[in-house]
Amino acid sequence: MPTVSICTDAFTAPARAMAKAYGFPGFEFATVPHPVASLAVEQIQERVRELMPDLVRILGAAPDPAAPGGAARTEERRERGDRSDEGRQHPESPGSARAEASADIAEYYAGRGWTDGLPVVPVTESYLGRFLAATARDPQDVVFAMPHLNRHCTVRVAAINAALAGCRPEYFPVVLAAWESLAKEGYATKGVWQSTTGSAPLLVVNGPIRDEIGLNCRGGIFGPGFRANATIGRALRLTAINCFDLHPHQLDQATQATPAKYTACFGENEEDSPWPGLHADHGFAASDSTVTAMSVRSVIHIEARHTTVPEQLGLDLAGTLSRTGALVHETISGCLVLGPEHAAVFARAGWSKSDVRQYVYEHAVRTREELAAVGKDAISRSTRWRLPADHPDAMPDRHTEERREGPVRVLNSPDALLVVVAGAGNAGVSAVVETFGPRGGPPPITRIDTPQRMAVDEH
Amino acid sequence: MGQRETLLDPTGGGDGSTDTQLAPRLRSLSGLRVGLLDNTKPNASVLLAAVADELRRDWGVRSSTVHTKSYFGTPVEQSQIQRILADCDFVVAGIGD
Repeated sequence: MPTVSICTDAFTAPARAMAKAYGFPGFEFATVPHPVASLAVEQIQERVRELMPDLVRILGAAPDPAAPGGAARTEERRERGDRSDEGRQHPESPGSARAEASADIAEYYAGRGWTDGLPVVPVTESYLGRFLAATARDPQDVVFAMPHLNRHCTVRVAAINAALAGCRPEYFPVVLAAWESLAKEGYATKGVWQSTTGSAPLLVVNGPIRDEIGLNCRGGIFGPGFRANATIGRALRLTAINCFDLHPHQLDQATQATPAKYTACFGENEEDSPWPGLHADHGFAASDSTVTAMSVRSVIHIEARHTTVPEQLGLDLAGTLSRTGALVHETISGCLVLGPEHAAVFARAGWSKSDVRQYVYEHAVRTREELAAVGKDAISRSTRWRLPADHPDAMPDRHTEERREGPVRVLNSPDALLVVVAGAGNAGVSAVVETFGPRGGPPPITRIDTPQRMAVDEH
Repeated sequence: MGQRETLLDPTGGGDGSTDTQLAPRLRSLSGLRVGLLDNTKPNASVLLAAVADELRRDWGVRSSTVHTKSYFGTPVEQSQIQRILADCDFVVAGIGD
């Protein structure tokens, strides 16, 4: 069926990448100047009047390509979109390299666009073999698919990218479990990590594997210095870039992104936690090793050094979650990463993780006036994203529909929050991680399958 | 050991989408039915409504129907494609933003 697709001129690069992924290189789009989302109706009508000659020409029926707003303007817009390709000349690969030419190797990978901007580890078939030996899975098994991009990732490709990221072979079972958890989580397969919102996968690891691979659970969990933390998260990012083609400015349209896109992986500090670990909360044995993946937008710092009153700390956490800047959707989700000192404040007062979740859920609120002041007091009829009450797509949010008194809750249930304990026990510092889901279903906790005998290369 | 080895391609070599054919172009829009495929991005519905007005007024299009995607991030569902094929002669989709 003849179809013309309209996109903004800021979006032409990913639009063309998608067309190419579906076998239509050179597919022509009808473009309008960005932005459209924030325009009033009359402004949109004006844009459409200018667009019509182009739109009709693409369908095959236009009489006059020189009409105002026609082909000439399309060409100008196309040039603007093309600039994202500048500087991406790829040198022909020699296809092989000596070990000592590491600078040449770094340039080779960078030139192919196969990195996150940092140097990567060269991967040969013999080196890859050590990673494939660390799992019982078949190299051709699919670990993750993005059907709308016509792409999937096999165990073999996941291993190449894990090696590229600097993982040791014994980290590879964690990487595989991370992919499985991300698939269960569901947001990444739908393409949320291509979105302008700029999210990243974050991994929480539980169980004995943490000690086995030296995964940091204590001071500096969100920062550098530990190979397992740095490279396991990076394996996911390099796979996204290399296997799924999620290059910035192209299929990855993050407006600003987040530092977590480089890498985001830490272990729960089960040893300094007053409570059972995340995995034990959900039916796993403490002795099971697991990974839980979540799609995150932000990691926000909380500092409360003198409080001994759990409600005060609870309000700090609730107030952070309910910030209006984060209220894109009707409600939000989060993961509270409590430092051991803060966990102790709650536990000394007899609170469980459930008590923490319940308190924060009840107190993460915004008044109707506060929401209206930022144009977020209603929701979209089709997507339930927040918008001003006078927007053409607006309908009342659930709180209004149910005629509930009092301020609006930004979490739809205590189950929209996870609680883990991580970090050093040296100060009253915690973090609120803003996540996609869970919204009531169980978190995608996934067992890590380590082989019975791990091949360790002594050379 | 000094042995030469090939550096492996981390992209998986692509899934090899083959070239496909565009639907035949229309010579005239007069008397045709247009399907408006709304991907639910902000203002997509407003934009498509404006396009429909122009098509009816200036290009002789007979009627328009709106088809709204259930989620912008994934392809149009097969059942929706079937409905569009039944209802429409051509489609305007929006908005990539």
